[in-house]
Formats: sequence, structure tokens, C-alpha cells
Amino acid sequence: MGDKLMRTVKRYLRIYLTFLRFDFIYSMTYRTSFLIELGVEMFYTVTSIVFFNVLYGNIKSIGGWTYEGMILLVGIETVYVEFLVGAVFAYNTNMLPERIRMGEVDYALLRPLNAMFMLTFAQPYVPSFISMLPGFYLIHVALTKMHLTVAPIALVSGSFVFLCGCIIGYSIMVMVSSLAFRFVGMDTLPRIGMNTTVSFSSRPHQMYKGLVMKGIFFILVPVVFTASIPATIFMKGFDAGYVVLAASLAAVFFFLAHTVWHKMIGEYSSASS
Amino acid sequence: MIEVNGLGKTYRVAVKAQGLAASVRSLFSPTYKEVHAVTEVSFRITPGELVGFIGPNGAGKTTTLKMLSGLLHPSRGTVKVLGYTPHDRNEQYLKQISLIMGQRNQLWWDLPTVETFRLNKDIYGVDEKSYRETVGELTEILEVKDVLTQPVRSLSLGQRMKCEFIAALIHRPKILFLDEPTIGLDIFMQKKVRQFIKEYNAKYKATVILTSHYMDDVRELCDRIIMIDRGRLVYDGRLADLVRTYANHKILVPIFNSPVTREELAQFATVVSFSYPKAVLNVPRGNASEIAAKLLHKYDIDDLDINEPELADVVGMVFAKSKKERKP
Repeated sequence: MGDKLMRTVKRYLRIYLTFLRFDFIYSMTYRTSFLIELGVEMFYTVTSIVFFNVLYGNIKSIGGWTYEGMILLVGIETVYVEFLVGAVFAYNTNMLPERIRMGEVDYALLRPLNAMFMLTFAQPYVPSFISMLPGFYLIHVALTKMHLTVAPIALVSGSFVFLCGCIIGYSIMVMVSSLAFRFVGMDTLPRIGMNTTVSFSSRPHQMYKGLVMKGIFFILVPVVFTASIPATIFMKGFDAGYVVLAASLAAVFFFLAHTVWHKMIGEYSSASS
Repeated sequence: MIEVNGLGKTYRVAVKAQGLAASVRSLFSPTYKEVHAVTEVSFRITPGELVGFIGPNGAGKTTTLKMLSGLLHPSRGTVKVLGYTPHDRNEQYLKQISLIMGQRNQLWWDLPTVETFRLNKDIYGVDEKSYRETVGELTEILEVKDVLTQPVRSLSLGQRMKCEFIAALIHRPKILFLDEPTIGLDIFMQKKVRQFIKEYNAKYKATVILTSHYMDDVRELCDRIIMIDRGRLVYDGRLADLVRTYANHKILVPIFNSPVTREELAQFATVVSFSYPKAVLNVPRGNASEIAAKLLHKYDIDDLDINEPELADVVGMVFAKSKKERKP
């Protein structure tokens, strides 16, 4: 059983590396487009840093978050957003409604692979992966400025919660985008999924007060686990409650995404040839 | 191997009237109609058969192939292929089939063809030795060895179609669904592709189901044909039997050495065309030999052929009959 699982993981990993290589070759073929896209991605990151510099030029802290803390949050959020955009959104879920409408997912659905994997990971977007680097740099700068050495357990648990946040974000995007199998022509679905997962990810979780707001952002759309809570764990140390909640939500959201995806695929009507 | 019972597929399609006002109206009260792409189809196909699946546009051929391959869920009826229910998309099932669509592209557009081959090798879990053997053999037969390192977008349609075949056959599927594989190709390339399908079927004992609007594909490849019209089966049997059953005439083609007029020939048979010295005559199947003998007796004839009618004509007759029978 374990051996079979390892073989499967290796096979999927090898296929994903091939997808990455393909996109890299593609990016190199169209160099100008690649450089422009890379510039745009970098611009987004720089503008958010400038925004926080302006904001913290006048005040010392917001909701208990210092300037350095916010830079850490922005750094993690940058990595999260660029990862999701690069791995899943840009050329995959974003294009899904159009591909469904044109019948272009036929071949992907006939592969002896998990169809969700094929249609949400097959075309990575390299410029976004490169744009994750400023995010890592911001994390480094923030930790250095705070003179903070992250304890190993905080590092591991914070990274784990971040991973759970990515799974939650991915699952939300998949659930929303897969509705395109049923509601053909709704090209805005992937953007709704993407915006739901990234719009609130750069905000400190302390700003969500009251049962309703907490219910929304900790349970229904638990984007607080993508950046804010990992940043808090890095700064303040291991928190078992957050780790368990993040892991449980990631499992539930992934299960839901899988279920919705398979239900929606049954509605696929292809397109005339 | 393939068992189809009462298979049907119905789509719900939004009805949109023309004009802005109608569009706004349909926003608040949309109307739908049911389109029966496949009404009821049943057949069995045994291992190694090469079956032609033919019908006019919109008959339901492609929809049926898509249900057989597992792309579409049937609305009713059952399908079993190799013991699997196709739309379950079992990995073991998908490893044993391939669908080639003449109007779709599975090769990665901007990359050299060989990159798609290698990706498919990993996807289907083909070992290096088998991969090299298969690609080596297929590129040799299809004469595309020189183009494997070229980006797909720079290939001609014919080269691309050949490479599509190789990409689809890397895992040596037991069942091959071919949806108009020769569409758009010139006659030489069509011939080459047909030859290849025939060889693949013979060598690997693969079951092949082929849809095509080119009757040459069907005539040269298929012993058995299944014809559907408006989602219903109208014929399932041997190609030779189809001609015998539905075509009640034969075609006589005499080349005359002595003068003859169209009016004289009309006394023997229906004149399809006449341009001295050649005539094309339509004669009742049972009287073909007798009329040929009379012509030979009366005229000085250089050559005389007795042919079966064109397959396309016979197929046309079958569909015309089916259409007539559907009318109340």
C-alpha cells in the first residue's frame, strides 16, 4: 500500500515537473511576453510594499501589528498569491470555462490520471513562481528587522498552516471553477474563486471580530490561514489550536472540492467537433 | 468487448430568440429545449473488429464515441467496454483506449512533437524500452522521423495528424476510437492514414471504431458498418450486405466502338450519363447480366464494366429510407 502510494506520488511529481519544464520552454520561446509578465508581477509586489510604507509612515501599529509584522504578513501573502496564481489560476482554472465551452478538455479527461490534477495543474505560469522570490525576501527582511529567530517548532507548524491555507485556497478555486462544467459560458467563475481566496488574505485575522465575521473568515472562507495565522505563529510561536483547525479545514475543503469537481464533471457536455 | 444497450444522450439547450429584447427576456425567464443527440442505440463489437460508424451530420456518431470512451455520461442505457463502465473513468480502462479526433489537437502546440510523446509515456506509465520500440516503429511507418524535433505549430496538417496518431498509440491501446481521422487531409495522406489504421488493426488485434464522412475510409477499412441517423440505429451489418440489401440496381459502363445514341440506350436502361463512346447506365440488379448480354449482342463494344453502385449513393438511399419511415 505504502509502496503503491509512493509510486503514484513519484509518477505525479514527474509529470508535474514535465509540465513545469514545458512552461519554461514556452516562456523562453516567447521571451518578450515572459519579461513583460514578470515585470507586471513584480510591480504588484512593489506597490503593496509602498502602500504599507506610506501607511506606517504615520502610525506605529495597526491592530497590534507593527510595520515589520505587516511586512512579514505581506511577504507570506505574496508567496501564497503568486504560488496559487502560478500553479493553479493563470493558465488552468482561469481558462477552464473557455476550454469547457470549446470542448478542449476532452483529451485531458481521457488521461489515466486524476482529472482534477490534469485540469488544474497542467499549465503552470513561470513568471508567478519567480515573483514568489520578493515574497521570500520580504519574509527575510521582516524577521531580520524584528531580530527574530523562529523556533523550529514554530517554523514547522507555521509552514504547515501555510500549506493548509494553500490547500484551502486551491479547494475554493477548484469548487467555484468546476461549476463551469454545469454553467457553460460563465467565464467569471474562476475570478470569483480567485478573488475569494486572495482578497482577504493580506489582512490580519484580529480585524475579524464577532461571531459572524469569525464564522466567515475562520470557517466558511478560512483565508486567515493563508498568511495572517502563519505570520502570527512565526512571531509568537506554536499554537496547537490553529494547527488542528487549519489541518481539519484543509481536509474538509479538499474533500468538498473533490466531491464538487466529480459531480460537475458528470455534467460535462463537451462541444461539437 | 463492447456492449451497448439502449444508449441515449439528451442535452438541455437554452433557446435564445433573436434580438436585444428577447435576450433581456431570456435573462429573467430562460427557456430550454431537450435535444436528443442519441435516442437509442444498441450493438456489440467483438475484439479485433474494425467497424465503420457512419451517419449524416448531427446523427450522434461523435456523441456515441464520446460516451464509449468515457467523456460523456449517458442519459440512459448502458455501456460496457472491456468490462468497464467508461464514464467511471477507471484508470485501468483509460490506459487501454485512445480517442483520436480529427478536428482536435492533443499535441502541445509550441513544443517539439517528441515532448508530447514523452509526456504521454509518463502519463500512461510506458517503460523506456516499449516507448522507444513503439515510437521508432510508428515514426518509420508514418514517415515522420525528421519532424519530431520541430514545434507542432510548424508542421503541416498531414504531419500533425500522423503525429497525433503516434501520441495516441504510445501505450498501444486495445481499443481505438477514431473520429474523422482523415478530415482535411489530401487524398495521398488519407490513403497513408488508412493504410496505417489497417496495419495497426491487423498487427495489434486492436478493436477500431471509425467515424468518417469519406466513404473511401469506410470501403477500404471496414467489413462491418453501423449506421445511425438522428440518434437511432438504421443499419448494423456487413458492408457487402448493405449494398446488396439496399441497392436494387447495378451500374453498367460500356465503351462503344460503333455509333449509338442516348435514345437507343434508354430502351435498355436508365441513362445516367452519355458522352460517346462512354455511357453510364443504371440497370435493375436482377437484369444486369441479361442487359449486358443484349448490349454486347447489338453493338460493337470495346469494354464493358458491371459495377456496384457507389457506396455514398447506397448510404444516401439508406438514410433517405430512414427519413421516409420517420415521417407520419
